[in-house]
Amino acid sequence: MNSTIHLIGINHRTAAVEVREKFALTNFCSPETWAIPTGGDIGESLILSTCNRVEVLVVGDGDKPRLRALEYWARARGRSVEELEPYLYQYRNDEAIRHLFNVASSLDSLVLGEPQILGQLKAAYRKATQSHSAGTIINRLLHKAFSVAKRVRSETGVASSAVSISYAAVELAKQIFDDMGSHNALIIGAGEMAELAALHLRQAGVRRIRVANRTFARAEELAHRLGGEAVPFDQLFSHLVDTDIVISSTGAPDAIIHETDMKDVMKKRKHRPMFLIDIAMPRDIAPSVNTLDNVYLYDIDDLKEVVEEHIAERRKEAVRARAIVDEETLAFHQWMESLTLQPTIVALVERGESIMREELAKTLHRLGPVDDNTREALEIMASSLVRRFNHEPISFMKDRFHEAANPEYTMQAVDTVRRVFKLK
Amino acid sequence: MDWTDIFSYLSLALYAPATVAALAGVLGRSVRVKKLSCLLCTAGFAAHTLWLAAALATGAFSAVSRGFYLLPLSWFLILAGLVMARRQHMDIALHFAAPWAFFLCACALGFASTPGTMTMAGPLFVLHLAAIFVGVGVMAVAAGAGALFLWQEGAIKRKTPLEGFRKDLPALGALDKVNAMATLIGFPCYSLGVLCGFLWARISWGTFVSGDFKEWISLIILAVYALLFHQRQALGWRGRKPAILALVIFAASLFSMFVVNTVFPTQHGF
Repeated sequence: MNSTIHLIGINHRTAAVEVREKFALTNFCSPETWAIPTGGDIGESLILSTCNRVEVLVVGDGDKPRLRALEYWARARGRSVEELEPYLYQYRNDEAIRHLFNVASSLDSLVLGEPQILGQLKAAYRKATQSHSAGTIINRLLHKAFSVAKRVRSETGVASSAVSISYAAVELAKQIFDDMGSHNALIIGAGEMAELAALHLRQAGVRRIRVANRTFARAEELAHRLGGEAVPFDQLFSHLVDTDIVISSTGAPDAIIHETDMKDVMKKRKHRPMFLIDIAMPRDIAPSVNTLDNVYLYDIDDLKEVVEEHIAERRKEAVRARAIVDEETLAFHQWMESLTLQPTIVALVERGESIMREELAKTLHRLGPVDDNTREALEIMASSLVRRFNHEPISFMKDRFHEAANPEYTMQAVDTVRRVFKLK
Repeated sequence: MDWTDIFSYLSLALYAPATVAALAGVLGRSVRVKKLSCLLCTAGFAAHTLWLAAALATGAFSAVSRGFYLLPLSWFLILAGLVMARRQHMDIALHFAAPWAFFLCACALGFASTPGTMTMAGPLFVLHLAAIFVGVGVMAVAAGAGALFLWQEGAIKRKTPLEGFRKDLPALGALDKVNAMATLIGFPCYSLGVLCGFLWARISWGTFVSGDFKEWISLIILAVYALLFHQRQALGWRGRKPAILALVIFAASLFSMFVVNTVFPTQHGF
């Protein structure tokens, strides 16, 4: 392998947030302020800088690109390499490829399976292509990383279950109601988590959101942010009749919704199912409400348990995901090695074409004036002869490459072909 | 080998892989395999229709035999599954119907040579059978949806996270809609079927009721069906209770078809 891939970086595991912000390269990716310019030792480069990680990917001969990248990175942030080194992880070739695939598949993220990292990696790649710092290897590597991430998401459950409380509540609502667009939600209280859950509900397409709060002005404020409507708190129970999803997070010292209240509400709404999410502490809704038919009550601990089980499930799935990453790393490694054949194949084809052009010119000269059809037929024949002639030596090299466990055997085959065909 | 044989083998040849694909698709959570199962099931239904038409055209079922009994019953079951799959976008209804269709068709083929004991006397008799089959067919799909509802709802109530293929199953609301639709269609059809049966008995046997055990079980099923219909329409029953009643009706229908018809002394014992 002539080109070496280096990946150096810091992340949430190796460096605290104060360190990560010192070495962040967020605004250094535009062509004008490109922190790791290509040319010289560095053939290709890419920077990924997010709140949880800063990673620099460089490609070039030997170890020099890594050293230069380190110098540029430290200098760009007005620091020394010695300050940066204690927090660094450094990978090369297969380990770098594997790490990048893990990052793209969100197997190295703080929240396992979170989807944002793929978008951030795509943005980083876009900046690298705009800055012309992505070449053959980074282009191929990043495209492969995106496809590995897609494969991991579709073939494993690493990203399938909700791992935030507010999102878990919405996922549960989808298991109860078939069409979110025909259901109404009511937010009781104006807590931050209730707002977040309501936002998720809005994104899930819930038809109407109402907000009830003891302070009407706060209800109006939240309703405005959510694109909903504020309702008076004392009319809570009449609004519950046509509400399907309730998120409650008031600061009330005791329960505000009891089993008897809900019995009346359910009768009035003809037993249409209701999903109640109680994220208040102390709880707003009496736990016995869950015993009623078609009423599903989840409190903060229930949701936390759901989230924890989902996290455990993701961890289990991550083992399968890592097997996919290993498989794809091996495939990429083989592609990298196949690059060693590339110069010889190109030289062989060019030599063949040059001979073909010379011989064709001589033949046409000898024949004198010929019509276009004859000329075209001769050209096709000559080009076909060259292609068929080149086929055997190219196959010979490729076969040795695929069969040989030791790269030296591949190099011997390449050397033989170069000597036989007198390629420079 | 005549057309009836050809279409019967073709139906089974399509329902068998549809059943395997339904199981593999649901358990393996493969959208493609589930779609393949629906396709095979639809193709099987087409062959099944031709089988039924050929059997009626050749006069193979001029008398009611066990084979005749099971063939249109399974046809109505798949039809109910297809309607639910299309109307409610619930392919699971077809995945549930496929194994039943395969089983009933295989039984119909096995009993094809059983001699008939009751002649197909007139439109009232045909209407009696067709309406009963629609009532039972839709309730079979509703029972499947009901079983899934109880399973899923139990987990949600107990706060047990749904894992594996259970995550792909329809929402409780969708499963309940199947029950609502089945009740709305099934109860009037089943009532009509029972009524036609009594009228036919009056014309053919000279009495509405002959004390046959089959008549009693049919009336019990009709009573439970009526309860389900009334509670859904008038009191707005939803969820668990209708799901349980659908299972009761379907279990009683199976008992009526496979136990009463074969074990008890009855005039329906073909």
